[in-house]
Amino acid sequence: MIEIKSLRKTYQGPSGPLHALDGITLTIPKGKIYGIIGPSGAGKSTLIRTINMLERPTEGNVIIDGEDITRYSESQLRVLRQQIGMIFQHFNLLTSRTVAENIAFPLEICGVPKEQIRARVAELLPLVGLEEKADTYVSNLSGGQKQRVGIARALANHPKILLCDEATSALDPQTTQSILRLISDINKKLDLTVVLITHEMNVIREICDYVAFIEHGQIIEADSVRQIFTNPRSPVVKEFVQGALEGDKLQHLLEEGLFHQSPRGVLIRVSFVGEGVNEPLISTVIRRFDVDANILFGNVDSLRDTAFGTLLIELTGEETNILHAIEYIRSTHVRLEVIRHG
Amino acid sequence: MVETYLQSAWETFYMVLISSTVATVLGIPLGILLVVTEKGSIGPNRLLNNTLGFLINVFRSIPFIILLVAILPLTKVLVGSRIGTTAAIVPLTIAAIPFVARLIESSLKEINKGIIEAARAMGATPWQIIRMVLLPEALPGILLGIIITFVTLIGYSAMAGAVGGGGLGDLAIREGYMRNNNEVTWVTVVILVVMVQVFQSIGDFLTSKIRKNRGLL
Repeated sequence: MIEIKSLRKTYQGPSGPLHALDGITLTIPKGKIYGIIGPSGAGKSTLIRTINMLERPTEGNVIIDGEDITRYSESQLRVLRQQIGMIFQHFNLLTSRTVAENIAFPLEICGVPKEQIRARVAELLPLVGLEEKADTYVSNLSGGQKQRVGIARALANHPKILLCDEATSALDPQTTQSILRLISDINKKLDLTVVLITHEMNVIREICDYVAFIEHGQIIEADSVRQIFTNPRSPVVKEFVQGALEGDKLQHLLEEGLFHQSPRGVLIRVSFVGEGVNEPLISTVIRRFDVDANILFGNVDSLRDTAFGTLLIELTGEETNILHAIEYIRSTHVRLEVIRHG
Repeated sequence: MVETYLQSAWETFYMVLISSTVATVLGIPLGILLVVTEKGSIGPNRLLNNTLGFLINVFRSIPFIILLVAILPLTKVLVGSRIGTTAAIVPLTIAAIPFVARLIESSLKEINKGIIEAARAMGATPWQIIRMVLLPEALPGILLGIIITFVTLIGYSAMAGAVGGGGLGDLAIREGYMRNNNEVTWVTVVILVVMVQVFQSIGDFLTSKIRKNRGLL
Protein backbone atom coordinates (compact mmCIF):
# COMPACT_ATOMS: atom_id res chain seq x y z
CA MET A 1 0.00 0.00 0.00
CA ILE A 2 1.18 3.48 -0.82
CA GLU A 3 -0.04 6.37 1.29
CA ILE A 4 0.53 9.89 0.11
CA LYS A 5 -0.10 12.48 2.78
CA SER A 6 -0.54 16.26 2.31
CA LEU A 7 2.17 16.31 -0.30
CA ARG A 8 3.45 19.67 -1.53
CA LYS A 9 6.11 20.51 -4.05
CA THR A 10 6.98 24.14 -4.56
CA TYR A 11 9.37 25.45 -7.18
CA GLN A 12 10.85 28.93 -7.13
CA GLY A 13 9.64 30.34 -10.43
CA PRO A 14 10.66 33.67 -11.99
CA SER A 15 7.39 35.25 -10.81
CA GLY A 16 7.13 33.78 -7.33
CA PRO A 17 6.66 30.25 -6.05
CA LEU A 18 4.95 27.62 -8.23
CA HIS A 19 2.96 24.89 -6.53
CA ALA A 20 3.38 21.77 -8.65
CA LEU A 21 1.72 19.74 -5.90
CA ASP A 22 -0.60 21.55 -3.55
CA GLY A 23 -1.61 19.24 -0.73
CA ILE A 24 -2.17 15.83 -2.30
CA THR A 25 -3.51 13.00 -0.16
CA LEU A 26 -4.09 9.58 -1.72
CA THR A 27 -4.16 5.95 -0.71
CA ILE A 28 -3.11 3.44 -3.33
CA PRO A 29 -4.18 -0.10 -2.42
CA LYS A 30 -1.88 -3.07 -2.94
CA GLY A 31 -2.25 -5.09 -6.13
CA LYS A 32 -4.54 -2.59 -7.88
CA ILE A 33 -4.11 -0.36 -10.90
CA TYR A 34 -4.39 3.26 -9.83
CA GLY A 35 -4.74 5.90 -12.53
CA ILE A 36 -3.96 9.56 -12.08
CA ILE A 37 -5.44 11.74 -14.79
CA GLY A 38 -5.33 15.43 -15.51
CA PRO A 39 -4.36 18.00 -18.12
CA SER A 40 -0.69 18.67 -18.84
CA GLY A 41 0.89 20.85 -16.19
CA ALA A 42 -1.48 19.53 -13.54
CA GLY A 43 1.34 17.98 -11.52
CA LYS A 44 0.85 14.30 -12.48
CA SER A 45 4.43 13.87 -13.52
CA THR A 46 5.78 15.38 -10.31
CA LEU A 47 3.36 13.29 -8.27
CA ILE A 48 4.38 9.94 -9.75
CA ARG A 49 8.06 10.86 -9.29
CA THR A 50 7.57 11.34 -5.55
CA ILE A 51 6.70 7.64 -5.23
CA ASN A 52 10.33 6.74 -5.97
CA MET A 53 11.65 10.12 -4.78
CA LEU A 54 13.06 11.16 -8.15
CA GLU A 55 11.34 14.34 -6.97
CA ARG A 56 11.65 15.15 -3.29
CA PRO A 57 8.51 16.84 -1.99
CA THR A 58 8.75 20.15 -0.18
CA GLU A 59 6.28 18.98 2.46
CA GLY A 60 4.26 15.88 3.31
CA ASN A 61 4.98 12.15 3.35
CA VAL A 62 5.02 9.18 1.05
CA ILE A 63 4.59 5.96 2.99
CA ILE A 64 5.15 2.61 1.30
CA ASP A 65 4.11 -0.44 3.33
CA GLY A 66 4.42 1.58 6.52
CA GLU A 67 7.85 3.06 5.72
CA ASP A 68 8.08 6.81 5.34
CA ILE A 69 10.39 7.11 2.33
CA THR A 70 10.58 10.90 2.52
CA ARG A 71 13.01 10.35 5.42
CA TYR A 72 15.26 8.03 3.41
CA SER A 73 18.87 8.89 2.62
CA GLU A 74 20.15 8.74 -0.96
CA SER A 75 21.63 5.28 -0.45
CA GLN A 76 18.43 3.96 1.15
CA LEU A 77 16.52 5.41 -1.79
CA ARG A 78 18.74 3.58 -4.26
CA VAL A 79 17.86 0.26 -2.63
CA LEU A 80 14.17 1.23 -2.62
CA ARG A 81 14.25 2.22 -6.29
CA GLN A 82 15.62 -1.19 -7.18
CA GLN A 83 12.26 -2.55 -5.97
CA ILE A 84 10.10 -0.09 -7.91
CA GLY A 85 9.84 -0.51 -11.68
CA MET A 86 9.17 2.48 -13.88
CA ILE A 87 8.22 2.87 -17.55
CA PHE A 88 8.21 6.08 -19.55
CA GLN A 89 6.41 7.84 -22.37
CA HIS A 90 9.54 7.90 -24.51
CA PHE A 91 10.74 4.49 -23.29
CA ASN A 92 14.20 5.79 -22.26
CA LEU A 93 16.08 2.71 -23.39
CA LEU A 94 19.85 2.58 -23.83
CA THR A 95 20.69 2.85 -27.53
CA SER A 96 24.10 1.34 -26.79
CA ARG A 97 22.50 -1.94 -25.76
CA THR A 98 20.45 -4.70 -27.35
CA VAL A 99 17.01 -5.71 -26.11
CA ALA A 100 18.44 -8.42 -23.84
CA GLU A 101 21.15 -6.08 -22.53
CA ASN A 102 18.58 -3.38 -21.77
CA ILE A 103 16.54 -5.85 -19.75
CA ALA A 104 19.73 -6.91 -17.96
CA PHE A 105 20.63 -3.32 -17.08
CA PRO A 106 18.78 -2.98 -13.73
CA LEU A 107 20.16 -6.36 -12.68
CA GLU A 108 23.71 -5.25 -13.44
CA ILE A 109 23.08 -2.18 -11.30
CA CYS A 110 22.22 -4.47 -8.38
CA GLY A 111 25.27 -6.62 -9.00
CA VAL A 112 23.34 -9.79 -9.84
CA PRO A 113 25.72 -12.55 -11.07
CA LYS A 114 25.92 -12.99 -14.86
CA GLU A 115 24.38 -16.46 -14.91
CA GLN A 116 21.34 -15.31 -12.95
CA ILE A 117 20.96 -12.28 -15.21
CA ARG A 118 20.92 -14.49 -18.28
CA ALA A 119 18.29 -16.75 -16.74
CA ARG A 120 16.09 -13.82 -15.70
CA VAL A 121 16.30 -12.18 -19.13
CA ALA A 122 15.33 -15.50 -20.72
CA GLU A 123 12.25 -15.54 -18.47
CA LEU A 124 11.24 -11.98 -19.27
CA LEU A 125 11.61 -12.00 -23.06
CA PRO A 126 8.65 -14.37 -23.63
CA LEU A 127 6.56 -12.53 -21.01
CA VAL A 128 6.63 -9.44 -23.24
CA GLY A 129 6.69 -11.40 -26.51
CA LEU A 130 10.17 -10.40 -27.66
CA GLU A 131 12.06 -13.71 -27.79
CA GLU A 132 12.96 -13.09 -31.43
CA LYS A 133 14.37 -9.64 -30.76
CA ALA A 134 16.81 -10.44 -27.93
CA ASP A 135 19.90 -9.38 -29.87
CA THR A 136 18.40 -6.43 -31.73
CA TYR A 137 19.50 -2.90 -30.86
CA VAL A 138 16.53 -0.95 -29.54
CA SER A 139 16.61 1.75 -32.22
CA ASN A 140 15.46 -0.88 -34.70
CA LEU A 141 12.25 -1.56 -32.79
CA SER A 142 8.75 -0.10 -33.20
CA GLY A 143 7.26 2.05 -30.43
CA GLY A 144 5.20 -0.80 -29.05
CA GLN A 145 8.19 -3.13 -29.00
CA LYS A 146 10.26 -0.47 -27.24
CA GLN A 147 7.63 -0.15 -24.53
CA ARG A 148 7.63 -3.92 -24.13
CA VAL A 149 11.37 -3.78 -23.52
CA GLY A 150 10.70 -0.98 -21.03
CA ILE A 151 8.17 -3.17 -19.22
CA ALA A 152 10.50 -6.19 -19.15
CA ARG A 153 13.29 -3.98 -17.83
CA ALA A 154 10.99 -2.56 -15.15
CA LEU A 155 10.01 -6.06 -14.03
CA ALA A 156 13.55 -7.50 -14.02
CA ASN A 157 14.13 -6.99 -10.30
CA HIS A 158 10.78 -8.49 -9.21
CA PRO A 159 9.36 -5.13 -8.10
CA LYS A 160 6.23 -4.80 -5.97
CA ILE A 161 5.29 -1.50 -7.60
CA LEU A 162 5.22 -0.42 -11.24
CA LEU A 163 5.09 3.28 -12.11
CA CYS A 164 3.87 4.17 -15.60
CA ASP A 165 4.63 7.70 -16.76
CA GLU A 166 2.31 8.33 -19.73
CA ALA A 167 3.38 4.90 -20.95
CA THR A 168 1.03 4.82 -23.94
CA SER A 169 0.92 8.49 -24.92
CA ALA A 170 3.48 8.09 -27.71
CA LEU A 171 1.78 5.03 -29.18
CA ASP A 172 -0.97 4.57 -31.77
CA PRO A 173 -4.40 3.38 -30.53
CA GLN A 174 -3.88 -0.25 -31.49
CA THR A 175 -0.47 -0.50 -29.85
CA THR A 176 -1.87 1.33 -26.83
CA GLN A 177 -4.45 -1.43 -26.47
CA SER A 178 -1.85 -4.18 -26.53
CA ILE A 179 0.41 -2.40 -24.02
CA LEU A 180 -2.54 -1.75 -21.71
CA ARG A 181 -3.50 -5.41 -21.92
CA LEU A 182 0.07 -6.38 -21.04
CA ILE A 183 0.10 -4.06 -18.02
CA SER A 184 -3.24 -5.43 -16.90
CA ASP A 185 -1.99 -9.03 -17.32
CA ILE A 186 1.17 -8.54 -15.31
CA ASN A 187 -0.80 -6.70 -12.64
CA LYS A 188 -2.91 -9.82 -12.13
CA LYS A 189 -0.18 -12.38 -12.70
CA LEU A 190 2.43 -10.79 -10.45
CA ASP A 191 0.13 -9.09 -7.93
CA LEU A 192 1.83 -5.85 -8.82
CA THR A 193 0.64 -2.46 -7.61
CA VAL A 194 0.49 -0.23 -10.69
CA VAL A 195 0.39 3.56 -10.54
CA LEU A 196 -0.07 5.24 -13.89
CA ILE A 197 -0.45 8.79 -15.03
CA THR A 198 -2.20 9.71 -18.24
CA HIS A 199 -4.22 12.43 -19.89
CA GLU A 200 -6.37 9.89 -21.73
CA MET A 201 -9.64 8.84 -20.10
CA ASN A 202 -9.54 5.81 -22.35
CA VAL A 203 -6.55 4.41 -20.43
CA ILE A 204 -8.42 4.82 -17.13
CA ARG A 205 -11.50 3.17 -18.56
CA GLU A 206 -9.58 0.24 -20.00
CA ILE A 207 -7.46 -0.94 -17.11
CA CYS A 208 -7.73 1.10 -13.91
CA ASP A 209 -9.41 0.02 -10.69
CA TYR A 210 -9.08 3.44 -9.10
CA VAL A 211 -8.70 6.92 -10.49
CA ALA A 212 -7.72 10.33 -9.15
CA PHE A 213 -8.40 13.51 -11.09
CA ILE A 214 -5.75 16.13 -10.58
CA GLU A 215 -5.67 19.77 -11.61
CA HIS A 216 -3.43 22.65 -10.49
CA GLY A 217 -1.62 20.26 -8.14
CA GLN A 218 -4.78 19.29 -6.29
CA ILE A 219 -7.01 16.22 -6.29
CA ILE A 220 -10.46 17.07 -7.59
CA GLU A 221 -11.97 13.65 -7.13
CA ALA A 222 -10.59 10.20 -6.31
CA ASP A 223 -12.52 6.96 -6.14
CA SER A 224 -13.00 3.57 -7.78
CA VAL A 225 -13.35 3.86 -11.53
CA ARG A 226 -16.81 2.35 -11.34
CA GLN A 227 -17.94 4.89 -8.77
CA ILE A 228 -16.52 7.77 -10.79
CA PHE A 229 -18.18 6.62 -13.98
CA THR A 230 -21.57 6.06 -12.38
CA ASN A 231 -21.54 9.04 -10.11
CA PRO A 232 -19.11 11.81 -10.98
CA ARG A 233 -19.49 14.80 -8.68
CA SER A 234 -17.49 17.73 -10.00
CA PRO A 235 -18.21 19.31 -13.42
CA VAL A 236 -14.70 18.64 -14.74
CA VAL A 237 -14.92 14.95 -13.94
CA LYS A 238 -18.44 14.77 -15.39
CA GLU A 239 -17.16 16.14 -18.65
CA PHE A 240 -14.26 13.68 -18.71
CA VAL A 241 -16.58 10.76 -18.00
CA GLN A 242 -19.10 11.81 -20.60
CA GLY A 243 -16.35 12.15 -23.17
CA ALA A 244 -15.08 8.68 -22.39
CA LEU A 245 -18.54 7.10 -22.48
CA GLU A 246 -19.84 8.66 -25.64
CA GLY A 247 -16.71 9.43 -27.51
CA ASP A 248 -16.75 12.71 -29.36
CA LYS A 249 -19.55 11.62 -31.61
CA LEU A 250 -22.57 12.67 -29.60
CA GLN A 251 -20.96 15.94 -28.55
CA HIS A 252 -20.31 16.58 -32.20
CA LEU A 253 -23.88 15.86 -33.24
CA LEU A 254 -25.21 18.09 -30.48
CA GLU A 255 -22.90 20.93 -31.39
CA GLU A 256 -23.90 20.71 -35.00
CA GLY A 257 -27.49 21.20 -33.85
CA LEU A 258 -28.74 18.19 -35.80
CA PHE A 259 -31.26 17.35 -33.12
CA HIS A 260 -32.63 20.86 -32.91
CA GLN A 261 -34.15 20.97 -36.34
CA SER A 262 -37.57 19.75 -35.32
CA PRO A 263 -38.10 21.05 -31.81
CA ARG A 264 -41.12 19.10 -30.87
CA GLY A 265 -40.44 17.42 -27.57
CA VAL A 266 -38.02 17.31 -24.67
CA LEU A 267 -34.51 16.13 -25.49
CA ILE A 268 -32.90 14.04 -22.75
CA ARG A 269 -29.67 12.13 -22.36
CA VAL A 270 -29.78 8.94 -20.33
CA SER A 271 -26.58 7.20 -19.21
CA PHE A 272 -26.53 3.91 -17.41
CA VAL A 273 -23.88 1.61 -16.06
CA GLY A 274 -24.12 -2.05 -15.09
CA GLU A 275 -27.59 -3.22 -14.04
CA GLY A 276 -29.39 -0.44 -15.92
CA VAL A 277 -28.40 -1.93 -19.23
CA ASN A 278 -30.60 -4.97 -18.78
CA GLU A 279 -33.80 -3.18 -17.78
CA PRO A 280 -36.50 -2.34 -20.32
CA LEU A 281 -36.56 1.28 -19.18
CA ILE A 282 -37.79 2.96 -22.33
CA SER A 283 -40.73 0.66 -22.94
CA THR A 284 -41.73 0.99 -19.29
CA VAL A 285 -41.75 4.76 -19.62
CA ILE A 286 -43.79 4.68 -22.81
CA ARG A 287 -46.41 2.39 -21.32
CA ARG A 288 -46.68 3.96 -17.89
CA PHE A 289 -46.67 7.63 -18.79
CA ASP A 290 -48.26 7.69 -22.20
CA VAL A 291 -45.43 9.50 -23.93
CA ASP A 292 -43.63 8.82 -27.17
CA ALA A 293 -39.91 8.19 -27.11
CA ASN A 294 -37.86 8.72 -30.19
CA ILE A 295 -34.32 7.35 -29.81
CA LEU A 296 -31.97 9.65 -31.71
CA PHE A 297 -28.65 8.19 -30.60
CA GLY A 298 -27.60 5.10 -28.76
CA ASN A 299 -24.32 3.62 -27.65
CA VAL A 300 -23.36 0.67 -25.49
CA ASP A 301 -19.79 -0.08 -24.44
CA SER A 302 -17.98 -1.84 -21.66
CA LEU A 303 -16.04 -0.44 -18.74
CA ARG A 304 -13.66 -3.21 -17.71
CA ASP A 305 -16.24 -5.92 -16.95
CA THR A 306 -19.29 -3.68 -16.71
CA ALA A 307 -21.52 -2.62 -19.58
CA PHE A 308 -22.55 1.00 -19.88
CA GLY A 309 -24.55 2.95 -22.39
CA THR A 310 -25.93 6.30 -23.44
CA LEU A 311 -29.19 7.12 -25.15
CA LEU A 312 -30.33 10.41 -26.57
CA ILE A 313 -34.12 10.43 -26.48
CA GLU A 314 -36.75 12.89 -27.62
CA LEU A 315 -39.89 12.64 -25.49
CA THR A 316 -43.15 13.94 -26.90
CA GLY A 317 -46.65 14.02 -25.43
CA GLU A 318 -48.51 15.85 -22.65
CA GLU A 319 -46.20 18.11 -20.69
CA THR A 320 -47.17 16.71 -17.28
CA ASN A 321 -46.69 13.16 -18.57
CA ILE A 322 -43.21 14.05 -19.78
CA LEU A 323 -42.36 15.56 -16.40
CA HIS A 324 -43.56 12.42 -14.64
CA ALA A 325 -41.56 10.25 -17.02
CA ILE A 326 -38.41 12.24 -16.32
CA GLU A 327 -39.02 11.98 -12.58
CA TYR A 328 -39.45 8.24 -12.91
CA ILE A 329 -36.25 7.79 -14.91
CA ARG A 330 -34.37 9.82 -12.32
CA SER A 331 -35.63 7.48 -9.59
CA THR A 332 -33.89 4.51 -11.24
CA HIS A 333 -30.16 3.70 -11.48
CA VAL A 334 -29.68 5.75 -14.58
CA ARG A 335 -28.45 9.29 -14.86
CA LEU A 336 -30.63 11.73 -16.78
CA GLU A 337 -29.85 15.12 -18.18
CA VAL A 338 -32.31 17.38 -19.96
CA ILE A 339 -30.62 18.84 -22.99
CA ARG A 340 -33.54 20.83 -24.39
CA HIS A 341 -36.94 21.62 -22.97
CA GLY A 342 -39.91 21.38 -25.29
CA MET B 1 65.63 13.85 -48.49
CA VAL B 2 62.99 11.11 -48.30
CA GLU B 3 64.49 10.14 -45.00
CA THR B 4 64.11 13.70 -43.71
CA TYR B 5 60.45 13.69 -44.65
CA LEU B 6 59.90 10.33 -43.01
CA GLN B 7 61.79 11.41 -39.89
CA SER B 8 59.70 14.61 -39.65
CA ALA B 9 56.44 12.76 -40.30
CA TRP B 10 57.33 10.32 -37.53
CA GLU B 11 58.11 13.17 -35.13
CA THR B 12 54.77 14.80 -35.87
CA PHE B 13 52.93 11.51 -35.45
CA TYR B 14 54.77 10.74 -32.21
CA MET B 15 54.14 14.17 -30.66
CA VAL B 16 50.49 14.18 -31.64
CA LEU B 17 49.81 10.58 -30.65
CA ILE B 18 51.33 10.89 -27.17
CA SER B 19 49.81 14.30 -26.43
CA SER B 20 46.34 13.42 -27.70
CA THR B 21 46.40 10.16 -25.75
CA VAL B 22 47.40 11.85 -22.51
CA ALA B 23 44.96 14.70 -23.16
CA THR B 24 42.15 12.21 -23.75
CA VAL B 25 42.89 10.33 -20.55
CA LEU B 26 42.89 13.59 -18.56
CA GLY B 27 40.26 15.45 -20.56
CA ILE B 28 37.51 12.81 -20.40
CA PRO B 29 37.19 12.97 -16.60
CA LEU B 30 37.10 16.77 -16.78
CA GLY B 31 34.38 16.64 -19.43
CA ILE B 32 32.40 14.21 -17.30
CA LEU B 33 32.88 16.44 -14.27
CA LEU B 34 31.60 19.44 -16.23
CA VAL B 35 28.41 17.57 -17.11
CA VAL B 36 27.64 15.83 -13.83
CA THR B 37 28.26 18.87 -11.63
CA GLU B 38 25.84 20.93 -13.64
CA LYS B 39 22.56 22.04 -12.06
CA GLY B 40 19.94 19.30 -12.30
CA SER B 41 22.46 16.61 -13.17
CA ILE B 42 23.49 13.60 -11.08
CA GLY B 43 26.00 15.43 -8.85
CA PRO B 44 25.26 19.15 -8.96
CA ASN B 45 28.05 21.32 -7.55
CA ARG B 46 27.89 24.93 -8.62
CA LEU B 47 31.26 26.00 -7.24
CA LEU B 48 33.14 23.13 -8.85
CA ASN B 49 31.27 23.54 -12.13
CA ASN B 50 31.93 27.28 -12.35
CA THR B 51 35.57 27.00 -11.33
CA LEU B 52 36.26 24.23 -13.79
CA GLY B 53 34.45 26.04 -16.60
CA PHE B 54 36.43 29.20 -15.88
CA LEU B 55 39.82 27.44 -15.83
CA ILE B 56 39.04 25.63 -19.07
CA ASN B 57 38.10 28.90 -20.74
CA VAL B 58 41.31 30.56 -19.52
CA PHE B 59 43.50 27.78 -20.90
CA ARG B 60 41.60 27.72 -24.15
CA SER B 61 42.09 31.43 -24.68
CA ILE B 62 45.88 31.43 -24.30
CA PRO B 63 47.46 31.42 -27.78
CA PHE B 64 49.38 28.17 -28.21
CA ILE B 65 52.70 29.84 -29.03
CA ILE B 66 52.50 31.80 -25.75
CA LEU B 67 51.58 28.71 -23.77
CA LEU B 68 54.48 26.87 -25.34
CA VAL B 69 56.99 29.38 -23.98
CA ALA B 70 55.18 30.14 -20.73
CA ILE B 71 55.27 26.60 -19.45
CA LEU B 72 58.91 25.90 -20.27
CA PRO B 73 59.83 25.53 -16.56
CA LEU B 74 57.03 22.99 -16.10
CA THR B 75 58.19 21.12 -19.19
CA LYS B 76 61.69 20.93 -17.71
CA VAL B 77 60.31 19.45 -14.47
CA LEU B 78 58.10 16.93 -16.25
CA VAL B 79 60.37 15.58 -18.99
CA GLY B 80 63.80 16.79 -17.90
CA SER B 81 64.40 19.01 -20.91
CA ARG B 82 63.08 22.27 -22.39
CA ILE B 83 63.71 21.35 -26.01
CA GLY B 84 63.18 18.45 -28.36
CA THR B 85 60.26 16.41 -29.59
CA THR B 86 59.43 14.97 -26.18
CA ALA B 87 59.52 18.44 -24.62
CA ALA B 88 56.96 19.64 -27.20
CA ILE B 89 54.52 17.00 -25.98
CA VAL B 90 53.96 18.85 -22.69
CA PRO B 91 52.51 22.10 -24.11
CA LEU B 92 50.61 20.16 -26.77
CA THR B 93 48.98 18.06 -24.07
CA ILE B 94 48.18 21.03 -21.86
CA ALA B 95 46.58 22.86 -24.78
CA ALA B 96 44.56 19.79 -25.72
CA ILE B 97 43.15 18.89 -22.28
CA PRO B 98 40.59 21.72 -22.05
CA PHE B 99 39.78 21.20 -25.73
CA VAL B 100 39.03 17.52 -25.11
CA ALA B 101 37.05 18.39 -21.98
CA ARG B 102 34.71 20.68 -23.95
CA LEU B 103 34.26 18.16 -26.76
CA ILE B 104 33.45 15.39 -24.28
CA GLU B 105 31.09 17.73 -22.45
CA SER B 106 29.13 18.47 -25.60
CA SER B 107 28.87 14.83 -26.65
CA LEU B 108 27.67 13.83 -23.17
CA LYS B 109 25.07 16.59 -23.21
CA GLU B 110 23.51 15.12 -26.31
CA ILE B 111 22.38 12.05 -24.40
CA ASN B 112 18.63 11.97 -23.84
CA LYS B 113 18.02 13.08 -20.23
CA GLY B 114 15.26 10.50 -19.98
CA ILE B 115 17.80 7.68 -20.15
CA ILE B 116 19.66 9.13 -17.18
CA GLU B 117 16.40 9.50 -15.29
CA ALA B 118 15.56 5.87 -16.05
CA ALA B 119 18.91 4.77 -14.62
CA ARG B 120 18.28 6.85 -11.48
CA ALA B 121 14.83 5.28 -11.19
CA MET B 122 16.53 1.86 -11.17
CA GLY B 123 18.71 2.88 -8.25
CA ALA B 124 21.97 3.43 -10.14
CA THR B 125 24.76 5.28 -8.33
CA PRO B 126 26.27 8.34 -10.06
CA TRP B 127 29.36 6.28 -10.85
CA GLN B 128 27.24 3.51 -12.41
CA ILE B 129 25.43 6.13 -14.48
CA ILE B 130 28.75 7.48 -15.76
CA ARG B 131 30.15 4.05 -16.53
CA MET B 132 27.05 2.26 -17.79
CA VAL B 133 25.04 5.08 -19.35
CA LEU B 134 26.99 8.26 -20.14
CA LEU B 135 30.15 6.76 -21.63
CA PRO B 136 28.64 3.95 -23.74
CA GLU B 137 25.77 6.15 -24.98
CA ALA B 138 28.16 8.94 -25.99
CA LEU B 139 30.82 6.62 -27.42
CA PRO B 140 30.43 7.66 -31.09
CA GLY B 141 30.60 11.36 -30.13
CA ILE B 142 33.57 10.77 -27.85
CA LEU B 143 35.45 8.94 -30.61
CA LEU B 144 34.83 11.78 -33.02
CA GLY B 145 36.01 14.25 -30.38
CA ILE B 146 39.28 12.35 -29.98
CA ILE B 147 39.86 12.39 -33.74
CA ILE B 148 39.12 16.11 -33.91
CA THR B 149 41.67 16.63 -31.15
CA PHE B 150 44.23 14.53 -32.98
CA VAL B 151 43.76 16.49 -36.20
CA THR B 152 43.85 19.83 -34.39
CA LEU B 153 47.07 18.84 -32.67
CA ILE B 154 48.69 18.07 -36.02
CA GLY B 155 48.22 21.77 -36.78
CA TYR B 156 49.46 22.91 -33.36
CA SER B 157 52.52 20.68 -33.64
CA ALA B 158 53.83 22.88 -36.46
CA MET B 159 54.57 25.51 -33.81
CA ALA B 160 56.51 22.98 -31.79
CA GLY B 161 59.49 23.92 -33.96
CA ALA B 162 59.78 26.91 -31.63
CA VAL B 163 61.11 24.61 -28.91
CA GLY B 164 63.08 22.42 -31.29
CA GLY B 165 60.32 19.87 -31.40
CA GLY B 166 60.88 18.96 -35.00
CA GLY B 167 58.08 17.49 -37.09
CA LEU B 168 56.63 18.35 -40.48
CA GLY B 169 55.58 21.90 -39.64
CA ASP B 170 59.04 22.67 -38.38
CA LEU B 171 60.57 21.24 -41.55
CA ALA B 172 58.26 23.32 -43.74
CA ILE B 173 59.21 26.51 -41.90
CA ARG B 174 62.97 25.92 -41.58
CA GLU B 175 63.73 24.26 -44.92
CA GLY B 176 60.81 25.41 -47.05
CA TYR B 177 59.89 28.92 -45.95
CA MET B 178 63.13 30.35 -44.55
CA ARG B 179 65.34 28.91 -47.30
CA ASN B 180 62.71 29.60 -49.90
CA ASN B 181 62.59 25.96 -50.95
CA ASN B 182 59.03 25.66 -52.30
CA GLU B 183 59.31 21.98 -53.02
CA VAL B 184 59.86 21.16 -49.33
CA THR B 185 56.92 23.35 -48.35
CA TRP B 186 54.61 21.67 -50.81
CA VAL B 187 55.67 18.13 -49.99
CA THR B 188 55.22 18.65 -46.25
CA VAL B 189 51.83 20.23 -46.83
CA VAL B 190 50.80 17.25 -48.95
CA ILE B 191 52.01 14.80 -46.29
CA LEU B 192 50.05 16.75 -43.65
CA VAL B 193 46.92 16.74 -45.79
CA VAL B 194 47.22 12.99 -46.30
CA MET B 195 47.76 12.42 -42.57
CA VAL B 196 44.70 14.47 -41.65
CA GLN B 197 42.58 12.71 -44.28
CA VAL B 198 43.65 9.27 -43.12
CA PHE B 199 42.97 9.86 -39.43
CA GLN B 200 39.71 11.69 -40.01
CA SER B 201 38.54 8.83 -42.27
CA ILE B 202 39.43 6.22 -39.67
CA GLY B 203 37.48 8.19 -37.10
CA ASP B 204 34.47 8.64 -39.37
CA PHE B 205 34.53 4.97 -40.28
CA LEU B 206 34.60 3.78 -36.66
CA THR B 207 31.93 6.23 -35.58
CA SER B 208 29.51 5.39 -38.34
CA LYS B 209 30.14 1.70 -37.82
CA ILE B 210 29.07 2.00 -34.18
CA ARG B 211 26.07 4.13 -35.09
CA LYS B 212 25.00 1.73 -37.82
CA ASN B 213 25.42 -1.21 -35.50
CA ARG B 214 23.16 0.49 -32.96
CA GLY B 215 20.57 1.26 -35.63
CA LEU B 216 21.12 5.01 -35.28
CA LEU B 217 21.93 5.71 -38.92
